[in-house]
Amino acid sequence: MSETQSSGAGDETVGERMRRLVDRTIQRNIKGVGYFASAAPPVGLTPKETIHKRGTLNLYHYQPLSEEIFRIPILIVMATTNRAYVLDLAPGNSFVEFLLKAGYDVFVMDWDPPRPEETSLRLEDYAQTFIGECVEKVQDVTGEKEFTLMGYCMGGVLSVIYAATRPQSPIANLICFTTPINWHEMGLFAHWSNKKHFDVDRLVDAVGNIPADLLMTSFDMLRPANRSASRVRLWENMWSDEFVTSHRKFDRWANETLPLAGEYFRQTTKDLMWGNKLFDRSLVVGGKRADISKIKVPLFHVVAEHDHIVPRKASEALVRLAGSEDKTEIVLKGGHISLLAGPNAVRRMWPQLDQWLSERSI
Amino acid sequence: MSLLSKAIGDLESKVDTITTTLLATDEFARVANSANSLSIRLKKGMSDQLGRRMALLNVPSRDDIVALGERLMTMDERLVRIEKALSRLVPPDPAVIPAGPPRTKKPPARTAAKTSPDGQAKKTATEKKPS
Repeated sequence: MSETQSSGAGDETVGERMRRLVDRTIQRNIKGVGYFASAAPPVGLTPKETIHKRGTLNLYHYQPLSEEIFRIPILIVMATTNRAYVLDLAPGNSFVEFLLKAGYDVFVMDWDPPRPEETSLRLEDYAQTFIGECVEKVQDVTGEKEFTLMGYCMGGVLSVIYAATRPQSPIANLICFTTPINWHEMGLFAHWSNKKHFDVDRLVDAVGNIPADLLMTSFDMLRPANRSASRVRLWENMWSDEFVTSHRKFDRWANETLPLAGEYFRQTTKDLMWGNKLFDRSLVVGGKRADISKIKVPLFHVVAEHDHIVPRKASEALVRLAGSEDKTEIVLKGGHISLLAGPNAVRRMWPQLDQWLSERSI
Repeated sequence: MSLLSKAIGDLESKVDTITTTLLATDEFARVANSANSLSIRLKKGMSDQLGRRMALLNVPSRDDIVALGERLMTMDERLVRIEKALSRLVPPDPAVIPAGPPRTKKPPARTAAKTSPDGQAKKTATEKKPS
């Protein structure tokens, strides 16, 4: 009896599999045509207002989605190489929307490509002037002195420099995502930009701002097979609207890498990559020493186990070096981007962050 | 299909491992940087030539546009300074409550238990939670 049932179930499964295979093949072809014919999917749909704009810098204030919000607002500093809409890819897959619904007041610093005349921007412009201006705007809009400073990747580096050079600033909490501190552990990036081979002065003097395609090629070369494998995965899952939409949004984001201001790149290469000055606490920005041990505010650092851009060894020093008594680091499965956006982030990172931050936002 | 996914993943990982070994050599770094320098020199040469032709046609060159942009940036900076000075002269009225929902939200009870009676969050030691 049981054999018959098992056999029947097996036949059914094979039949279902065949049907699904045929159905997906048809869907793949139909949707494949639609894929190439349709426009890029919309991103960054959560309502917001640009409350400050200056050259490359944009400061957004998102409309609260909760009837009651936490006292302390959040200021997010996006990485200077990428657009901030990765934080707001789509309803249901938006870090910003999650924070708003959880009751936070959210401000985001986003970047436009630096203009040719912004070649002269330096670390102090980003880490002190721009963040400082945005902090003042946040304070004006909210009426609150304190704020939570949150930075992703290079945005984390800028946030750390801001916090370390302005210990008197009313930062209530510092949250960093996958933030490189020990730049000598930056793997292939450190190798390629070794001063034995890489003449940063010649590059910056010749091109001004560092072109986005040069940066994109460097990112791609960290995982050379990734782009091709991603195309095959897209074809394989072309029948799934959900997969295709998500793939297109991430793909659009990855392809919109931003150029970098020339002097900022030169300084980052010399002081951080070659000198490793943030790690050995000798970095001077705007005449002030960026000593991580001067950071005393509650610190939360989220790192990814399989981060190919900022390896674990490059980021682990942050919590160790910070002078905060209240400091937490969590290591989550996933990579550099899936840490922040995508199903992995929704399930793993966002709830843990909310739990930590809600207690410290009153 | 899951077999195909696994095969793609395995192949990707193998190709990445082999290729990154090659990319991590000094030879590659030297060749890549030389190629980059050459490409930059070529672009610079073309850009200089184009600039000279534009000057002949009495059309503003890239440098002229950058100079204009720099002047605009200086004006932008001045405006920011003026705005700051004004807000110092006329500080925001503390009686005016900023628009938006009240900032009275408290953490859920589950986490509120960890908060001390004076409302200050308890200090937690460095903790590492492997996933």
